[in-house]
Amino acid sequence: MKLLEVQNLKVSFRSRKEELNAIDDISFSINKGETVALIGESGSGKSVTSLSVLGLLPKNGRVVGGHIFYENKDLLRLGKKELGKIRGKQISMIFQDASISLNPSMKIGKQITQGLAYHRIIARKELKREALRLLAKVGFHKPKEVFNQYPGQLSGGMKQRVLITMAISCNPQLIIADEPTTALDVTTQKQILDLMNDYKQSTNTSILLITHDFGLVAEYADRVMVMFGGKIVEAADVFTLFKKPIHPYTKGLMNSIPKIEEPRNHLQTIKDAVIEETAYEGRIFAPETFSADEKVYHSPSTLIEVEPGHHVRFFNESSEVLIR
Amino acid sequence: MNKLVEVQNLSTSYHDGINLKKAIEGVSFYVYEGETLGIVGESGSGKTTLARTILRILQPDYGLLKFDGEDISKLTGKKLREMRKDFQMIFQNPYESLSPRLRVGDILEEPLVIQKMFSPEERTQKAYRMLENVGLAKSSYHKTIHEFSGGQRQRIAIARALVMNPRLIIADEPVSALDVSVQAQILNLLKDLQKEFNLTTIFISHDLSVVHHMSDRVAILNRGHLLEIAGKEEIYKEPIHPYTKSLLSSIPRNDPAKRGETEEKIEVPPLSPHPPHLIHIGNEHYVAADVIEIKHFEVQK
Repeated sequence: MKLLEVQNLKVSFRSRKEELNAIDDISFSINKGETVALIGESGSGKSVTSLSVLGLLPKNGRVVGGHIFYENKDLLRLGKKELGKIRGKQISMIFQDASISLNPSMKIGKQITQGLAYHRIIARKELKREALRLLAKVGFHKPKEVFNQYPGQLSGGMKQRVLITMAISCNPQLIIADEPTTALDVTTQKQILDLMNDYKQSTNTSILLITHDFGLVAEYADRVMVMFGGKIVEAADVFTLFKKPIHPYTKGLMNSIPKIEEPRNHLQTIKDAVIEETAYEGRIFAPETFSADEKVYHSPSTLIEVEPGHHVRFFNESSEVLIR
Repeated sequence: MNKLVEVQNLSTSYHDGINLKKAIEGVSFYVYEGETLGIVGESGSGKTTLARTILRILQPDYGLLKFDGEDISKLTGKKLREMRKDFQMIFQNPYESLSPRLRVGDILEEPLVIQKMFSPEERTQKAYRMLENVGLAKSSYHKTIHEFSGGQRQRIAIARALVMNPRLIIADEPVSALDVSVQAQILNLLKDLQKEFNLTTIFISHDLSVVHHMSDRVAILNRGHLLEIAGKEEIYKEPIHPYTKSLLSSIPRNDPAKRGETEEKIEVPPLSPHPPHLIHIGNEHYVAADVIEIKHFEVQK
């Protein structure tokens, strides 16, 4: 069952001179209980996609087209008040940097109960007990102590746990996690992601995981979308993608990370991957993924299903744009 | 092989206003000439303090710090400045480590000017050559930093480090601010340059895969204590210290098919209040063996 469906989303940002497309025609869906990963480098539009879902785009950004359906409602066409009812309660978000996301001058307990109180999920006098229960659930041994502390008194990993506590406090259907562990150490990263994964499995919550790390995708995602330049260049379920990546950008991204199990003297860069291959089964890959040339960058391309559930972006040969 | 750097019982601490806080304590290791030693540690492990102490940006409290056989832990003034010709550092964030006002040419020549090396023409020639070595166009010489991307800036930082023909390079998280595709280019460049210039490198990172890619030997640092050091293959395949084991088991495996394979849970013993003694278990594999920890592991050899 589809929980969230994004259709032909287009987002642009105003700069002083011009309007820039950050997201160019993105479509995907998330099923109930599924973890979908958006992977890409900086500037690929992965965070912008997630911010549009909750209507949190910065002031100079706007949605130019498309739909985001959640339970038969188009989130892009909801009023502020209606969106406010969904945000935090049914769809919640975990950001990358916990030290920025938390209010430094408010006690942890207050920050956690705020959301519960706003959405009137439980009686006011129950708030504290619920917060303590949640804190214990995410692995705090002394929830009472944390309840009365300020963010500055906690370590990075503990702050990220608090963010997770807040995100799960209203029993959301969907959690959007934008690089939730990028700022953390490896051992803490594993603990945090295992925690989220356990929660997801016990409650059948869906997760939209935004990351640049293929290792995390391999470990936690069900389906993956590789993004580049505001477009999806390849999408498949995680097993297919790791077994048989097709687009050179995907391969390049996978091979540019050093791997302990398969050491190599030189890492493949994305450029190398692209030079080696330009086509798959007679179709030419969309050139925007590997050319710095402005003209070909905006050449038309389409996502084509090469096998069931496996989509790859190819160049539109019917169009007249030349590629070298 | 010649030990270019030798560190014995090195300790450095900071004043936080009231107390003296030990950032590193009782650290001992050595680096052979021409090799790369990787230092792995999580945040707060003291890896940056260790780097800064070796470069003598910080003054160690006690301990021996030998560079090419000479103790430099107490050098000051002119002698220290002369010594510094031989060390260079590459920092994490090329947006902050390079002056936004200077032209790239000036950035590259500045260390030579400070050390009064070469004539102005020779310096310019050297700067051009360095740009070529790191894969940047000659025209970069006249540009300022804001015209470059993060990866290109890190290339400039590397060029600046190499322009002095240093004998030791310390790279402190040199790729963690970069995108993965750019990271690959910089790591490749560093590896090529290591070979070309026969560099001795201390490569510091929190990323175990990157350290594995770059290093010959690897040292594990945790909260100021060095817990294990060994050849790369040995420490990744046969780690002994429980902390090393837990670090290694936290690396994502890059293969969804291996997901859910249960791994034993590793108990990390509490940190001992005193720096551990490193015992040699053969094959240049040293592991911390202090009183608290010794019951936690059985020596496998």
